[in-house]
Amino acid sequence: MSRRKRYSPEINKKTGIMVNVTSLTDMFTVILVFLLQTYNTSEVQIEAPADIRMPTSQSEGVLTQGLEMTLSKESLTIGKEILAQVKGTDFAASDKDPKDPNFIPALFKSLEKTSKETTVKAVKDGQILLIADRELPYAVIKKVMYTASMAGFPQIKLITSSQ
Amino acid sequence: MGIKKFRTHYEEFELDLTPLLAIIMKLVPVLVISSSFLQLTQIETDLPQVVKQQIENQKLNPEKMAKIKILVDDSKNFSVVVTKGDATDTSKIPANGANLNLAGLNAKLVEIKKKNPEVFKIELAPNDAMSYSEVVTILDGSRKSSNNDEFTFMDPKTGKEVKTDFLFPEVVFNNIFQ
Repeated sequence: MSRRKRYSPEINKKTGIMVNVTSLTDMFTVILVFLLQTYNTSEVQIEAPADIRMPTSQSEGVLTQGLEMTLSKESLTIGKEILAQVKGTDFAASDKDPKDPNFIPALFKSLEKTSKETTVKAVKDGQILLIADRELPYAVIKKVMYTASMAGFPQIKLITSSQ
Repeated sequence: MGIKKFRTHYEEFELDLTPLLAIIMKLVPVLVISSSFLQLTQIETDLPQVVKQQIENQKLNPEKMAKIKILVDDSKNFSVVVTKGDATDTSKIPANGANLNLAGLNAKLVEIKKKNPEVFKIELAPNDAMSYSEVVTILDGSRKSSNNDEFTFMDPKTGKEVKTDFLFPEVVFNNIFQ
């Protein structure tokens, strides 16, 4: 009894599979143009903290070097060091100088220390890049400016997101 | 005599896009990593050289130039005080309901700039209760005219007339120590 031969379609092994990459190239070209547009050529790269919503501005200024200071609705920080707590619309009473409510002693000490230790010229010259939440009252910003100028940092650059 | 092969318009040529695709595939991850999708800017930036010189000139000769001060009260009304010599002129710009009247402020500043084209610096005294974003909008409004007006002033170095679209790009917060 002969076995029935299983059906198998004939395949020409010399024929290669042609993948049409034109549409894929089109897609990548669009992505490439988009990415080139958003590419930042600034010498300074600042990572916007997730808990801060910065104000928008029409200013087209390129970021310059300086000491990065972050002021959120919760705290004032330089790097990872928390210098003062924000409670509602003001700094916590324990973080303010009892004799001068505009003065934040921890910020003053930190800035003085940074000024002595830094090798960055812009920081030595007293430049601060202030990244602050847009909903904070001016009174809070004013206290930071006041203490910073006392510590020898009179040039405060306000970091905003572009419109 | 050879046989000449005729080409017809039905024949298509194959363009090999593989190398192009390979380049793009390498570029895309590099750009994705290095791109910043949130464009950050900075207020207080580089100004044209002539404007910078004029600001320096204003710092050296403060008594010759008009002194312009913007005050904002609790109800968000603006007071613009211009002091020149012994004369002081105060203008009030009422708020737009609960909002700042930025259009009114910009129009007033354009008017002042036309009278004092050599002045580039103003003093700002915001109210303590104002939000930081409102302060930034005032800075924006005092930097350039909303109608893209141009102002002519005399360059003290060359003695020639120079045109600029800047209103008052240098802002000093004058109530920090109060």
